[in-house]
Amino acid sequence: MTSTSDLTSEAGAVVDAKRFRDLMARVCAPVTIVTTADADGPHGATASSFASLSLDPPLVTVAFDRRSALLGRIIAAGRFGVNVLHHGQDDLAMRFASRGEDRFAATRWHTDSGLPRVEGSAGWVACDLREAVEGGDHLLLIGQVTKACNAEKAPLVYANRVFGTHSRFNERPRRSIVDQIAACISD
Amino acid sequence: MTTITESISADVPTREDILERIREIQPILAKNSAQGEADRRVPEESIAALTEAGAFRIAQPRRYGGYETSMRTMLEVSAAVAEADGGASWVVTLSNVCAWMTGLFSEKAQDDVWAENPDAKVSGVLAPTSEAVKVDGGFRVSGRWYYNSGSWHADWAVLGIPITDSDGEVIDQALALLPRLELGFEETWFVAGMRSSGSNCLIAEDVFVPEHRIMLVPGAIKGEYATEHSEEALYRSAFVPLLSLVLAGPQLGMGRKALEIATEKADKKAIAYTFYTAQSDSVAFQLQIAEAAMYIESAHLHAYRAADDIDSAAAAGVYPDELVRARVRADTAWVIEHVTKAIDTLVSAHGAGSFAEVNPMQRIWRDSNVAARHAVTMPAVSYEVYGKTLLGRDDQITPLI
Repeated sequence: MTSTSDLTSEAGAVVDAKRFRDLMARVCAPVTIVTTADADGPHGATASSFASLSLDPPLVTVAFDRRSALLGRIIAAGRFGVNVLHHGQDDLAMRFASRGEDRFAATRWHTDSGLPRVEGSAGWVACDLREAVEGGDHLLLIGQVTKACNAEKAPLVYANRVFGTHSRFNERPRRSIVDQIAACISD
Repeated sequence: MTTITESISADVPTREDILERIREIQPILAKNSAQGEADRRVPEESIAALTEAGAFRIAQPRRYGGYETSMRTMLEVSAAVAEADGGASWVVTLSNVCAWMTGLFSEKAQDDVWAENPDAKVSGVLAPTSEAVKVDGGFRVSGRWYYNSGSWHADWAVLGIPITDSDGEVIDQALALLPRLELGFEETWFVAGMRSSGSNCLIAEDVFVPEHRIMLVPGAIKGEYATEHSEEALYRSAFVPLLSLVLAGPQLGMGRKALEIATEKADKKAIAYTFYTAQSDSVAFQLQIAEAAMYIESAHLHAYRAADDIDSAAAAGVYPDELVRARVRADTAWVIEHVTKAIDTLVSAHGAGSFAEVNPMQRIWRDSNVAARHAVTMPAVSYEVYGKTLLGRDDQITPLI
């Protein structure tokens, strides 16, 4: 993945591909598993491009390489789910990023709003696909959120090509009952 | 050791009566135990026999025809059932402890469960693996609760929820009573032991729970219950100690049965690759039997001491302090640890024949070992809780004491 070919923007500026990738590697990214389902069963892939877009209406975005198999399935289904992974789920992130593995067979998941939802994640949104926006070699999917669920778990983050978490998660403002509940639901 | 005598009323059988009825149906339970494993569900014949024997009434208020007994009786009934079938005992144990929790709710909530169906059984999970939205008159709850033992037979479920304010902020933790018919169900219990306990997943999708069917957990841990019937001693029992100690009941019975199997066969079984034609002739075997028996005796002494702590405090109308409550958790862990050791010793003494599918020993070994890993009774955790309490430390590891 470290091709050093130059990238040419439409304006004619030349950017070194590796330099650009290294720049993006410095950006702290969330780690999510985006899913959809159709007659062939559940489908999903790891994505770090998940972002919020609009509060009212509630819109989120996630970008996929145009060659992604999942992309076509999401567009066909018109719906997708986003599992926001927690700190302990880096193995799942790797599983859903690798080729050829039966991703769901070894994963604890269930169906929620007709979409595959991974057990034990830090967050979950179900979305209707509202628009697919052209973006170079990627498509930016705009999803309208139809359901959102949260759990009190440290989020998984990806930066500088390593997984980690929010180092000050435990300093977040919260009531003590939140920790008591977290103690009762940790698996 | 003192024994609390339960007040006897005409239509409530004594502990010995109930145990005698359980012993009478043990052959039915034992006969069905392998089928229960294969089906991953205790056969209806066993459930019917246990219902008939009153096994599901021991923690139900007398106001609904229950026997409203005691912690000690709950232990002994679970143990008696477990001598015949560990899985059936787990269903009895968890249904009874959930019936007990139901008895802590307001009378209005209890009426919802038992007024029209006194035989209603309750399943439950304390963990608030759910979300709750505050609405007029109650909450709308969505969630998934794993390991609802006895789920196949439940009419109601007592389930953990977070309590939120009108802004959606989590402000408390509670138990909610929900009718089983309003819940989804998924078979998720595919395990190596306690296969027939039916500890499956119950699912709520935007289910309304009225205020009167909600009880706060932090209050319950301190002994603040919703029931108006403060005269009912059983429902003054300490919350976490009782929830913990009930899980020792099945272990006592499984330990006793394993000892019985190994002892009974000892005159007839040779020790392979030795000159011993009977295991019982071997001093080494005699020592193993003695050691296992002592582990089981020790388990009983701790279980009954802990039951007495709970029952005597409830009878006196006092709530045991944190040290006593932590000790009950440690006692429970001690019981489980010693029964596990006893069964391990007995399996070795009894020999490789323990693992024949026709030998109940292998089922006891699997059932006991799986049940021993219940999160509330983990020895390492429970001893840490007790140790911190003994040392008066302020870094306790759980609210569940």
